Amino acid sequence: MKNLTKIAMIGALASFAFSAAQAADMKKVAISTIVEVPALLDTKKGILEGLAEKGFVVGKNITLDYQNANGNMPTQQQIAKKFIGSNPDIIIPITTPTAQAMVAGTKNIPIVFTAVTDPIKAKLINTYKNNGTNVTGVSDAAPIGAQLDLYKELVPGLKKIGFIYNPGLDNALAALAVIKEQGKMRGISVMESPAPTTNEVILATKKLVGKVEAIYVPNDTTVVSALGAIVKIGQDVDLPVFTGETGGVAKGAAASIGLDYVEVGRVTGRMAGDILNGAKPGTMNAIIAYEAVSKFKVAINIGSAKKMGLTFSKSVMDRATDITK
Amino acid sequence: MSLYEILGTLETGFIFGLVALGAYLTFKILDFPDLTVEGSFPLGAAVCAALIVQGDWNPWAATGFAAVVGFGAGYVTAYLNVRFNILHILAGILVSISLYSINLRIMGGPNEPLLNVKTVFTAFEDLGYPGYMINPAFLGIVVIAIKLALDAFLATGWGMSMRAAGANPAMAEANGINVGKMKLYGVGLANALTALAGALFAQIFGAADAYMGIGVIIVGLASVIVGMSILPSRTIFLATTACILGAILYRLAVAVALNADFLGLHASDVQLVTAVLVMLALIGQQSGSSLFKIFKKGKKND
Repeated sequence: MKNLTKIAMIGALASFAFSAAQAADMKKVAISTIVEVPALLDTKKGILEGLAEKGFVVGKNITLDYQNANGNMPTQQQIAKKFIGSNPDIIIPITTPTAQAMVAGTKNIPIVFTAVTDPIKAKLINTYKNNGTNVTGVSDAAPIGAQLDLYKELVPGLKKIGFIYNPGLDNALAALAVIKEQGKMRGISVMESPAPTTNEVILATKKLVGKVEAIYVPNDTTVVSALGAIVKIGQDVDLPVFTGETGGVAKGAAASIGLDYVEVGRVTGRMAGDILNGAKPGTMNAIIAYEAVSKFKVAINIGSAKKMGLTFSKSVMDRATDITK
Repeated sequence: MSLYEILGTLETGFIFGLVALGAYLTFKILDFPDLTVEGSFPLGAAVCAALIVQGDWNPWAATGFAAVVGFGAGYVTAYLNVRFNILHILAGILVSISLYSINLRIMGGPNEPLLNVKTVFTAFEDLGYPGYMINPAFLGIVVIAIKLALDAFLATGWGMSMRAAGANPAMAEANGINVGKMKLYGVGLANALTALAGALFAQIFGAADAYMGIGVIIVGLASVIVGMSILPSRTIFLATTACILGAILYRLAVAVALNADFLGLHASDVQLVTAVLVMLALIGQQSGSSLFKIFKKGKKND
């Protein structure tokens, strides 16, 4: 007991000494994420770039407290307490549960959430426009309409698309709702194939073979973990596999149009920079990333697509920003 | 570490004290390694959040009802074991994975926000007390009251039977104790405590989430073991105290790890640092005060 208390005290003292040593005129920026996966790390990178565009550079005029909850919600809660207790100038939570923990904890410190698919459903804000609170941010809803247009162009007879997802993930469910709606407008029906864990993804994929003309893999961490297996099945039976995220294309998906998460982060970082410059979050409209960024990623994988029985027209090749051979 | 953060750590520590009490009841008293809690913690959160948001329930009633539903989950696990002879660990796993799907049904999705709604904690804010002070105090009182009630219960005839059923089932049977029944109620009670913890945590966190249960069993067990080795005891009173203490110390270790970034550690090292701190505590305890002496020696040399 004594030992642990002692260790705890040393830790507490040292961190206190450290924070006291920081220059007083530095602005404090606190960023947290529930888990470190490539898209979220890209977001973090973009945030820092966006802040730099507004003149805020880590180590020069801002200090950064970055924390990762490693998927653990009680730890996330403790991170929220740590942030709020240190009274930063801005908190930037990445993902929905992280943002909820921060918003539950403070009504004063400005919060700019990012990589949250549906901030209204998550009750972070009640409206995108001028919400009058200390919270604003960026939604990372995927540009699914644009994606379907591209897939229809690549697979002319596309009438039915398979959708593999973990029903336990909010963003997967949100994507499902949108793809159904957007598909209807384009005469494409959606066939759902749930896979609650990574182990069940292969089975969920095989279930779709012969019933659909293409497979759509949403931005769903559970399913994306098994993307390699889905791609292999797609190549074996000539079934094109598309991903909701462009990052999946380099790993074997045929094509995708998507948000560049570094861009999403940049938009967030710029908002955060404006707030550090004195803007009030309550008067800043929350942003849907795909409406705010001018450039999308159009990613294609020529080698993998060929094995799935797909070739790219010149027009698609011209539009492609990321080409994997 | 700010006062705000320390009080926040206490808050989470007290809540996980309930989980530790549940783990103590199953693992130590009933000798029933129960894995249901990975599902019953988010179950409590989900039931409470759904009742408050969708059902417009009074938050106190919703929290209480969450505990009742948690009891049901534990009862089912024990029933699978007692009635159908399914191995206790497997029974717990089966119930907890089915609870994952059930929780999604209850919430109508993986996440049910509890922001800007009445919770048991907003009642105090309405009285004008700052939440960060009053919440840990309130939780402390609740958890200690529950601990004392549990102590008292375990000293009654029923409680004694439950302890006997875990300590020596054959002897207990021979003395006319229905061991199966004791398991049903004991595991039910442990999960009621866990679901209550989940309900309270969701109201502090601002949301119930389908993934809230990840690692709950590990934290619960670690709390019991840390507490027990720091406060070794033969009496129930001290043992339950140790559980709560262990839970708080575990959260404190996490808090220290979160503040350890100046050592050149990355944000993703938190788990490792937490584990090392808990290990140090256990080793320090085992080797008497030797670790303490090392610290003293170090000081002399300065």
